[in-house]
Amino acid sequence: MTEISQKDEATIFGNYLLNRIPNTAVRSLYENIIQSSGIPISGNEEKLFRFALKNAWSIGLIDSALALLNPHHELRRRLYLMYALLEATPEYADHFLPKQRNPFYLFVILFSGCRAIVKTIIGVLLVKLIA
Amino acid sequence: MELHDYIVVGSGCTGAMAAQTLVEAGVKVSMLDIGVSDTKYASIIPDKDYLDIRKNESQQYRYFVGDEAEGISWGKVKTGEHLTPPRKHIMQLVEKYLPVESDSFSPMESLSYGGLGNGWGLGCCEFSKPEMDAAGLNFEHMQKAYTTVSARIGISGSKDDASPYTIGELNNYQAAPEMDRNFSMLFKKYNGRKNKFNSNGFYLGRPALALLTENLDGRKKYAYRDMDFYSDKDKSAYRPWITTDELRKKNNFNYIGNRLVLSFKEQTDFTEVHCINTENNIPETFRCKKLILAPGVLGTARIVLRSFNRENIKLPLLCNPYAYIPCIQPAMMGKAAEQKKMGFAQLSLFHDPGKNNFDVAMASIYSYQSLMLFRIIKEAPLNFRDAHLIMRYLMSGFIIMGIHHPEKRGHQKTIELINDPGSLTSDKLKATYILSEEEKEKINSREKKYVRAIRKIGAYAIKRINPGNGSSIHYAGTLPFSNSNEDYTLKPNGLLNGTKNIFVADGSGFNYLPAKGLTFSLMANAHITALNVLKNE
Repeated sequence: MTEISQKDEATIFGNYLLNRIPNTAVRSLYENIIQSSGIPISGNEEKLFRFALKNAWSIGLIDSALALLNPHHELRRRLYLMYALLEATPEYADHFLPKQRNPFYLFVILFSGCRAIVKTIIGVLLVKLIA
Repeated sequence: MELHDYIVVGSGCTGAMAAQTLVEAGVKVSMLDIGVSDTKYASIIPDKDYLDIRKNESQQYRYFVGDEAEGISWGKVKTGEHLTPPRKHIMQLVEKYLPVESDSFSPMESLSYGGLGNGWGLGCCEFSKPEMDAAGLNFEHMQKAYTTVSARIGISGSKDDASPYTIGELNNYQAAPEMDRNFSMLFKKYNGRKNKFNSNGFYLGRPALALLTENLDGRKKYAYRDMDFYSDKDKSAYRPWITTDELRKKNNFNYIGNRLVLSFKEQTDFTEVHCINTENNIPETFRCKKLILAPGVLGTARIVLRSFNRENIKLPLLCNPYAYIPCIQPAMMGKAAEQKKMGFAQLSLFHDPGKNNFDVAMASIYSYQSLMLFRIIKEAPLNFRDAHLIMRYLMSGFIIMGIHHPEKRGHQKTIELINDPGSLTSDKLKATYILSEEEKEKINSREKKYVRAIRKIGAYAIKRINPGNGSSIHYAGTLPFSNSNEDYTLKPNGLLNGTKNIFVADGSGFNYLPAKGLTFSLMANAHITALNVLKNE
């Protein structure tokens, strides 16, 4: 199996959270923090982690399932770290700061909630299958 | 060996206040303290507002997330984990020097320069006469002391329904800071229904805060930068290090850092104070005429237990039960971020069912912006992408209600010092804190009432979070005030029974712990204790 570097991992996670590839500075920060934290991925979690990295399309589904089944999974921890780093980067501030919305935006929110539930259902099946 | 006149232990709110009273009286004072400070982040935080920083500062990840991502907590939330990277030093060295064993109590202690005061939410409340009577405090002395402390630290507040519980009879206070949109809406709704609220024992109003709205003694008025969780640069928020820094400019004050006080021993003409020099962990002894202990209630208990025969001694412990409730105000959802904002409590909701200003519960209500989305997004049981979309939309409507409950003594609330050969001090504190079923029921019922009350003014509770016993960071009552000469108690003037020259200036003597923010009362009591030390000459 080809190893995926932490830089690639940063690119994949950043792309998932932001819908675009994050800048080099954020990717390097992510990589440094992961390396210095030295927390290994446990055997149980590794299979799912590697699958998600190899198949970037599945991250949203696996993340949805883990949010319900195992919210403290290492995959979620690393996504969370990337999320925090992106939020603390001026280039992406507008993506995170609250924005004025019209009342109809509530429908977008409701749709997102429904979509998240569907993703969770599919994700749970996928996670069971991978496990 | 030099004989010090007065030694004050600790640089927190009580230590700083006691030291100031002594120094102003003209006596020579030395302060023993460890004094950890933030040397990493303070200098890189710019004098800008939060939104400006978010949009322009490339180094912001350092103080928002942390160089080692220490601002990110993952897994089960522990006491103190919510601290932002520039505030993490508050708990530095604590595990090393102040070990605690407990499965029912996780306290937060500090060895920092300024102690727990560095993380203080600035809430100032006067205790009522019934509360002072129950706590063992002298009402008249405390009234005068409140005025003195208010003049020293600078308090802002206003007269409204909450003022009997906050500023009380105080006259020397500045105007309350401006409220943001979220709170103006809540307050307006309350004012339209206040009779109903009041008849149910609820009173909403502006909190009194140790926050300047006018310049005072070289400190600037609050600039609404919303960086309160990260920086104290303009000194508009009172922190005890401001007092200690000023005292260090005086000839009759001597700050001695890197010293952990372990115990004392009274000799005929002086008191020996035994310490560890934390730079090299070598024991050291100081001598003084009078010793004033103010390292915080748990720290004082350790020192006193070590100094006396501690075997089988269990001291009582008071700690306000605490829970916080994130809420949403739907009317504010989907609103843009506000430039002028603050992280301190903007409203306080008191529950006084007996309408006698006793056994009152207090909720401090905060808005949520500068703690960023990443701290709350993990609470949603959704994938990060969808959770982001939803949380971002809700964010302007988020408010956090932190509820403190009053606390009486109980049989299963104790601390003791046990041997621990593995620790640097050869001992550790063992804490037991178990609420009775009756207490739990009362707390639960009260919190439900709070949820209903906040709903009536347009905010809806998302969930109730109990971060565990000890998380209120309000501790007291380990060496209760007593008129007898019993060991492990304090005389009403703060003198430790069984000693001639050892005074306790923190909250160890309180026999009852009101739910109202206690720091202001702790400082007033420290001032009174220092006056008593001078009288005891």
